[in-house]
Amino acid sequence: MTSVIAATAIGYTYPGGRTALAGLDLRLEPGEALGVIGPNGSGKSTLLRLLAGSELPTTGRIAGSTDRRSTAVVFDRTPFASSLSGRENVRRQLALRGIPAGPAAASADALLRDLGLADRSQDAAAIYSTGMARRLALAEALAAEARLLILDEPTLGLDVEGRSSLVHLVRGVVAGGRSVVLASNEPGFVAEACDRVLLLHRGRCVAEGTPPELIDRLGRPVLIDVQLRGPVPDSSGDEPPAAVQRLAAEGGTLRFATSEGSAVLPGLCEWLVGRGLDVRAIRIHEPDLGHVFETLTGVALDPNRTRGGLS
Amino acid sequence: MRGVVWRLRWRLAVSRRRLLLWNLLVPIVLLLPVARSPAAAPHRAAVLGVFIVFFGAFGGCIPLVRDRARGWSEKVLLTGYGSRTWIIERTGAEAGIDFVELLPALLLVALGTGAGVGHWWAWLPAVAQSLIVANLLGALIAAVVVSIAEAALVCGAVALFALHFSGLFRSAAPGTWAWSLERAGLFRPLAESLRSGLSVPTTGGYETTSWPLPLLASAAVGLLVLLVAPRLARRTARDD
Repeated sequence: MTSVIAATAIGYTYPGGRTALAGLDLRLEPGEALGVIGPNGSGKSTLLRLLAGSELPTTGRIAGSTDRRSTAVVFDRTPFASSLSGRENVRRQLALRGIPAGPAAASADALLRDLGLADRSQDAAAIYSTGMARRLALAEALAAEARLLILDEPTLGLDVEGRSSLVHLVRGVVAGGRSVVLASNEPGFVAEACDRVLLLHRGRCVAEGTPPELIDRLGRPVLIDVQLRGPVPDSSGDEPPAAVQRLAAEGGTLRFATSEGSAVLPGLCEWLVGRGLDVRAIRIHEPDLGHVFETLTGVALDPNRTRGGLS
Repeated sequence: MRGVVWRLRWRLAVSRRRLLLWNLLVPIVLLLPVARSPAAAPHRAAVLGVFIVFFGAFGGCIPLVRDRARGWSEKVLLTGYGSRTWIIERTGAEAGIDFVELLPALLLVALGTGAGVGHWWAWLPAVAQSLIVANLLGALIAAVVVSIAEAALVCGAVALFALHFSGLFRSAAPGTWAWSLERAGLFRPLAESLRSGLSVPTTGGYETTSWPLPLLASAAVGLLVLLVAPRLARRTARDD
């Protein structure tokens, strides 16, 4: 099977000398969705720009389909013809691609409906909110029915419903035999939408695999937050029950990790009560790709997200 | 040529009604009083010429710089639209829109100065050629500047130089190198038609309208624009 993209040792250095990407190998097969995860400045957008053919790599080579007609791109900031309606923007974009009106227009209308823009498709794009503009950009890209879809931060500005629709749309594209590369800071979305994930840190790939494979590398620990009424007392420093590892005490919260899942909860509750701790809430966090990234690099994927996986 | 970009530019021009209205009114408000003023005819011709060329050059350059910065040009080219086809259609459409926007003002100037409809008709080819060249110059300038402020500054300077060497501001003595240069000036037909239309006494170089050399020079500018076309859409790479 011919790869849609086969990039070998690609790198990109800015004219000022800063290296954005170094020695990256990447393959994308037909009918596959690849997610690129990394914090701001890790080289995600640069990688997508290289794959879109918008920039040329300064080292290495990209083989396969970087033909513009067979690629549709949504960059993080997509401009529109703001005085035209959303619907007309999509139609003009299809015309630029040489796609005849008729059936393509009908499919564009269906996409606008799927993305929740049906009621507002006749409004000028100038008055669209950030989320609506994002949906419009996605509709333009999806309507092109390109062999390769490149999406940079596609969930930016989307609400829960929009995000869920996007997962559904990406899976639909992939099911149709087309390929998707997307970059995102949202590990949950990437895990749902993508078959394979590449973790990018400072322009280098730190890990690659399917989401379950990557999470399995952590031994699948479950993180447990115990929120107390008041500060953490000294008595909490005792050895925790079996199979539970005490990670940290911060403010009024005790943090534990276990690979036994929720089975340890009765024992842990007993331990907490035994020490007279007044528990306000217990939260259990399943590990995600964000934890994998933090474990491998020591850097939080999202600075607003507390290290150790607590949100 | 597919004409999609051409149609899109016209559609955008029509959809921005407020801007369209300003672009129709401003030339009338500025040009008519100047043309009817008691100022010396060469001065009036110079003001009209400068306005027409600025109208084209600024209009050709600034939107291109803005569209490149916001990624619009890149978005169009990422659809697979050829960069040369894109710039030809875009520049052609912008020149056409400028021409339509200037027509009422020019007609009023012709009627208001007594030059008459005959002169108005004579101005049209020269104004059309000037707007195409000014838009092409604007596109060339857009390839080398990085901001709108820079674009405005360079457009103004280049347009004034080009007008000066087209003989709009003075008539060089026949036989001198400046006189030879003026005969090939990009805006020579405009300078000639305005000066004759506003009844400026002609000297050597203005006795006959010399189109071939200016057209050749205009074609050279057009070729340069085709060469820089891919650069015109490339957005500066940035960190993510």
